Amino acid sequence: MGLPLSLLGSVAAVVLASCAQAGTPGEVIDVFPDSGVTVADWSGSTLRFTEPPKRVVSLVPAVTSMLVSLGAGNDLAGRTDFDTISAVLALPSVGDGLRPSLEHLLILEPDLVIRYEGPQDPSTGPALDARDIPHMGVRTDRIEDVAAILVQLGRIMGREAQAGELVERFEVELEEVRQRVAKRPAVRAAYLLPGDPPWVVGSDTYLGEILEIAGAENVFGDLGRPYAPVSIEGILMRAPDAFVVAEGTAVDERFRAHAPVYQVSRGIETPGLTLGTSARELARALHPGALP
Amino acid sequence: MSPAGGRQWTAVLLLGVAVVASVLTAVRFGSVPLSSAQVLGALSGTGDPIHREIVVQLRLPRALLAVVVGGGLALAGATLQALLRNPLAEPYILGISGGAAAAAVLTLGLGLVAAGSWVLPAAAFVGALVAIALVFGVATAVDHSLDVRVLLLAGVVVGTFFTGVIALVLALSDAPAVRGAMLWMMGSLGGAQWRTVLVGATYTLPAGLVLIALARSLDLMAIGEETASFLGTDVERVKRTALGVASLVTAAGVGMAGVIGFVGLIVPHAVRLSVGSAHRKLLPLSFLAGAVFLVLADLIARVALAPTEIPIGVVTAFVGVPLFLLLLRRSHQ
Repeated sequence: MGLPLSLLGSVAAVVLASCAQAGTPGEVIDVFPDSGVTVADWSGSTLRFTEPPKRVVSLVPAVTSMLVSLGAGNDLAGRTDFDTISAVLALPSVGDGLRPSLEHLLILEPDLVIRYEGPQDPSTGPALDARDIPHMGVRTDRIEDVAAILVQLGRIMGREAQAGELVERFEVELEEVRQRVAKRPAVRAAYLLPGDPPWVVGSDTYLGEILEIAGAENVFGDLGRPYAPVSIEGILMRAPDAFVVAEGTAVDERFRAHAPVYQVSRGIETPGLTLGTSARELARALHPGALP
Repeated sequence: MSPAGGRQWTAVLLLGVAVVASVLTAVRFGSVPLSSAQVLGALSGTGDPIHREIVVQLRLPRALLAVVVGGGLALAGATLQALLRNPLAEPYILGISGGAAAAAVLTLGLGLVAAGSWVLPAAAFVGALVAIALVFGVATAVDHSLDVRVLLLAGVVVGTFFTGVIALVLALSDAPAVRGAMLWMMGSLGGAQWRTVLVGATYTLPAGLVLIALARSLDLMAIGEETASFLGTDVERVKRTALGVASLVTAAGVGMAGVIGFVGLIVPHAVRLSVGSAHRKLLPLSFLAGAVFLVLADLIARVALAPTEIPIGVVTAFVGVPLFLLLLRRSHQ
């Protein structure tokens, strides 16, 4: 069953063109440059916006932060329980970002829902499709995804200039960290995630990229998978010079006996505009004195 | 009508009313506060379109799916407890949940869910059927007479095998797939649509009638297969029919709502403590009690910490255990 007529009216500005045309995830496709903007989301579906949405619900905290940074906080109609930034805490919550309450989503009458794309949430997209609510799936696997989402949001929300500034600042921040540690020998490091055996960060991940920007060589960069559980002996065999974990992660004592364990703020595991700060924090830990 | 027969019909009537009352309560209350007038307006088709969508497309099919799944699990549990003569028997004892979960996890791990919302439930249902076929195949290969002890062992072995498959797939999957698999394995009625209610009812209601028709044979089987055979029961036919039907009902439930524990184990015991072991009473009353229990458990899961939804297995355990202990204590007094 489709969405009620009153709600259809409010979302008339957004035309979901999924299936009709597939796009490259993160791409901005200006098919009709004079009458709006067309983007491809991370599922490959395309959405055309004839005017900026006014009632956005983002189920992805990093995207919510980006919208606030763009100055589009007033266009947010709701938030999730995952959100921690004070600017959105007064908004009504739709619950868990991966299993949002459909009742709460409907009552907010969103004209755009931004959701996690991937197997962690297989049901929200089809449920929104069934009600003709426009939705955009995003993934933040790589640093380039963060920048691409920001560019798309800038176009969609009619805030291209702000998005351009933020992307530039974000990239300059990361480049500055990279330059500061460029002449120092790379520290062979392993990024550990919770688990028994621990999970490690492998290739093609934003965490692996942050390690490299901060002057580390990811000892699992050749893993061939983004993340994987690896035995303790498998980790120790790689003989890293440092272990990196987010605050609050339990670390096996055998790792501490082998190499120093550096803790960084938990924000590093929320890919968004704060990655520059995370890279700086990590570089300071791995290369004392390299950054002010 | 005998006094016992009268009491049975009274109990069926009371629980039938309870099913209707629980469904109406589940439609009246939800994570979004709506007034009685708004809910009535939505049901009569005159209210706000968004309220209609919430009440008619979200709450009502969800409550009815809880009736079908809860009733089906309790019915399957009561049947398996009789056939296997094991008070710990529950709908998943024959490895069905393992097969369904392995298929669901594999689907998530391979990224096949993108093909459509029907893929995950369909995969879980097929996985459950594969598990049933394996268990029956193993048991029949060992003993053509389908010895229930062999069947139980086959269930444990097949279940353990699928647990290994799940662990392997999870170890080789990316973090998002692992997260999705964990959420699926907790069970939820959140995917309820009118289509799923129809599919569930198509499986469960005729299956329920078949099992209730076998009530007298199940009474005899609960005493022992030899006694049942001596008294004229075609033991093999009853075993195969009842096990097959109970397994199919469970498979349909798992496909639509994931693995929801506790209902199929505790509800039949609670009903048995109240009305005795005669399957003529036990089976229909277990269906109705299972339906009421799951509808109310799902309601609590939706509203307790709204808008966040608690996994339904948490509610079935937290509400079911004290309720069962209370019944146990009263029956001993």
